Amino acid sequence: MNALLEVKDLNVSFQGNENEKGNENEKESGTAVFYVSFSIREKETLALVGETGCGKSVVAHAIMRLLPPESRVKGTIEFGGKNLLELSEKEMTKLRGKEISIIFQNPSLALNPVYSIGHQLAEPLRIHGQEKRKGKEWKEKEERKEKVWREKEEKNEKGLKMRKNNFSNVARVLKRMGFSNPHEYMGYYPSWCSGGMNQRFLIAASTMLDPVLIIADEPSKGLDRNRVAELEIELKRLKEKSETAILLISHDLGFVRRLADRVAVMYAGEIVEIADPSSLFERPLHPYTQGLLNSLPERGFVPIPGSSPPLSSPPEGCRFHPRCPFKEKLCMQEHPELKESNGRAVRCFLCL
Amino acid sequence: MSEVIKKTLRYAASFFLIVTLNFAFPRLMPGDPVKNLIGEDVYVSETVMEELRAEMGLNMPLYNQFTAYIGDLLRFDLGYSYHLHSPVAEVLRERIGWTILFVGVSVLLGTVLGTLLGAYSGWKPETKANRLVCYGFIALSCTPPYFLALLFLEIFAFKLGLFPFKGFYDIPTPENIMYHMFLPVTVMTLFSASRNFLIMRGSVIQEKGQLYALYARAKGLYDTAILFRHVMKNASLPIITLLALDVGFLFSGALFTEIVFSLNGMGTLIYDAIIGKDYPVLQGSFLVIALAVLLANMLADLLYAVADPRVRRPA
Repeated sequence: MNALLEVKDLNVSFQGNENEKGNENEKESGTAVFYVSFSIREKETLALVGETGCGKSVVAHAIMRLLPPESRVKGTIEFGGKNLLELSEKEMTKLRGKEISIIFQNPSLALNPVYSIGHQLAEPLRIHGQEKRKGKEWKEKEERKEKVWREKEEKNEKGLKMRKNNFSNVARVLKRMGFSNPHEYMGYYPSWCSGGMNQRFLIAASTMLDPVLIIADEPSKGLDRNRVAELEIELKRLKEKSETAILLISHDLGFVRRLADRVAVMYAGEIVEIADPSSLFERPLHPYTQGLLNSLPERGFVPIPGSSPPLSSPPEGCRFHPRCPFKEKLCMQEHPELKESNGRAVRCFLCL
Repeated sequence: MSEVIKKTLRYAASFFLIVTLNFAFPRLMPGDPVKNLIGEDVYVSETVMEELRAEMGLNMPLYNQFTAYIGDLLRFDLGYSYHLHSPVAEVLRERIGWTILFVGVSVLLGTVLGTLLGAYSGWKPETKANRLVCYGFIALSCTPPYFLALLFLEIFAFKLGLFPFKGFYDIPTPENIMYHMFLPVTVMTLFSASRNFLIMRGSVIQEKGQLYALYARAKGLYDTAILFRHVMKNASLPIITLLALDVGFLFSGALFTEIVFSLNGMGTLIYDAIIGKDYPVLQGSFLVIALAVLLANMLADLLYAVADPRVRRPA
């Protein structure tokens, strides 16, 4: 299978003090992401799990190149044969929202309070509308849709029809997402809607142009159980019907287990284990993964002792050694590499 | 609906308070209006003075004066100016047009200029040019407008001779008006722009850090497109408040500027009325200005409901 996204030796560091409120991961100065490598195949869902502050969101933002200017990103992020880190901002702009989309964790804040839902959902169509007509490397499904657009466009070349088109597309997407009267909701504003509704609007906006890769940055954070179930259905539909590859970032392990094709566990800016969900959840190798699973309520609620190290000064040797119950002398002195064997990889001296 | 009633009541109360204060303040000023009217060097007997007071209703008890005042207001009668020998309403009608033209044009230009420059300056505050512009506007906002007016007169009218010193008394053709209004309008525009600039700059700096701005970037918008399509509308909400609050401030700023440039507007009218203790003109002018502020606030309330859906509820 082809790799759609290939991240190699990704390093992200932040320079000093200027970090405003922003992301929780950016508070620390220093290196937030340390030689992270992974790949996502077409149509595959890769989950990135780990506790708050381990650098998951930074990875997501680095792929989209949405990190603040005081960040330094090194390594390569290959997407469709291009290294995203070498593209100009203009070229990157063309990919964002069209080929790679992101779903932020706080839907009510990610939507603009002063524009209507319909306006905001139609925006990706408006932004990428011109490029669309060139349509050379487009997948078949896009072309099918384009035909319908083009037929209508040919009838009336001017903007008004185009606008109407956009809005009818938005209505169609909303209907598909379970809104029975989409035209009413399109006149609504984010502040008039619940968090769950905004979540669906945000997903609709991000998937409006059927991107080949969606990055879902903690989409289930702060949602109650019913909403999480709805979200799960929505993401499953994207996976199965739209055949979109998803990078799912979450610390909700149950959610991840039901959705992911592969799971990568991150600790203190590094990937410590990659495996398919069934082997990861049934036979976790890395002590951190084991600890993470043991801290789940259904497995006895046993927390990992200690807390994760500050990213500005990670411990020598294995980054997990201060909290590891099995640590040996070697763990404190040398930094383990991520080693692969039978389809899974782990960063531990003791596990293989 | 009850919100609307509450607001209407609040505005009605403010209106009543304005009218009351407007009645009270001139009567608290030191000096005798009758003596002033006659002049210091003319001797008039006490009885004649009393007669004059009675004729003007100044010898009545205060509450009678007040009810008479309200009654007159309801008939749009703002009294008679003995100094100008003309009904106050007529004097105001004649003068206010110039001030509205003067302040209106300045505020319009100043808001557009200040908002746009402020938005851009807030979008990229780190560039040298934007920093320089920012310092300039801070300096302008700290300078009293009448001082700026004097400075402009000195440079452009006196030294360079490009513009006239005095306001227009001759035929008001459009070119003539433009010629005479250029300097005062420039001064007031700069003043108004500096206030809008500083608010807008801060507002954009704050708004661009919001998640929706990042999401706009994630949707594929490029640089200033994010500013104009997403951040601008949110950031300009405080400008609505500023405009409402500033109407009074601008009027007073305009007052001094008008005096410096000898424009025939409300400013010079009020100035002369204060010097001459011309109560009716003062009362009338203050009433008009206070009403303008009240109206501006009502307009801001309405504008907010239109511009910000968070203030509204779905129908």
